[in-house]
Amino acid sequence: MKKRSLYLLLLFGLFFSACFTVKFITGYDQVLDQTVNKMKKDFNLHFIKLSRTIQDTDPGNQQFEKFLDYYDNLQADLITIKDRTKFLDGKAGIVKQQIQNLDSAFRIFMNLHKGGLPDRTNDDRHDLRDAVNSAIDAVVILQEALKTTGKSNQ
Amino acid sequence: MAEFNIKEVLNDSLAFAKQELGSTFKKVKPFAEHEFTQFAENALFLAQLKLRGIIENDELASRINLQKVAMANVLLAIKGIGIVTAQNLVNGILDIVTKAIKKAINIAIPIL
Repeated sequence: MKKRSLYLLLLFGLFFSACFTVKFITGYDQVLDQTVNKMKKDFNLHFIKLSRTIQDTDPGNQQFEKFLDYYDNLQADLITIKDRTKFLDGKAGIVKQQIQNLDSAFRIFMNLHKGGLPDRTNDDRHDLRDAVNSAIDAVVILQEALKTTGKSNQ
Repeated sequence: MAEFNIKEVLNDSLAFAKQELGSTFKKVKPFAEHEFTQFAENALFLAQLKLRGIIENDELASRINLQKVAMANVLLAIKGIGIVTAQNLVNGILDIVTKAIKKAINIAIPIL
């Protein structure tokens, strides 16, 4: 009788553990990861070009309108990633918030450029580059962590 | 019936937890340290620009705001990695328990 109870307990345990894996957070999203990595490369290329123009003596070469191609592409990428997060499951709150923050970071950067970035030899604006890169890296590093499956190696 | 060794399962689970938590900490630490240092350095850089009269209040506010938004994303990443670790830990231990039960049942009832 005791043996039978133990069998039933083990069978129940097997059924329970085999059918049940916990999920506290959404999974990895390849489209999001790839798009954000592309945005990082595009942004840094843009910043290299822009930083050349804000430390020279020409007050006109850094005008926002001269960089419209980059900003048009950026807007398209922001639409892509924001739409992408709409389709993520209910456990994607952190990822969704990260994408909203990334959108805010790019909008602050764009508004600063729109407002004019006067030539200054003593202000290379590296804080802007660092902050946008940090906002992107944070999304990438979380996506890397989401790739793990949570299985033991036993 | 084969023995279901609770002590062995517990030891395996603890070893797995130690390994999982250790690897996560190693992954997060350099990222967090780098980001926190950079945030502090940039805040100091901006304060100096303001003190030297190079930037006005409006520009300082926008640039600080960008730093804050970026830091919020960094903190969300660290929080998310913590949740992933907890998830991996629970699922990994469930995996260990499942394997131990299967082993005990397979020996006791080979038809399973």
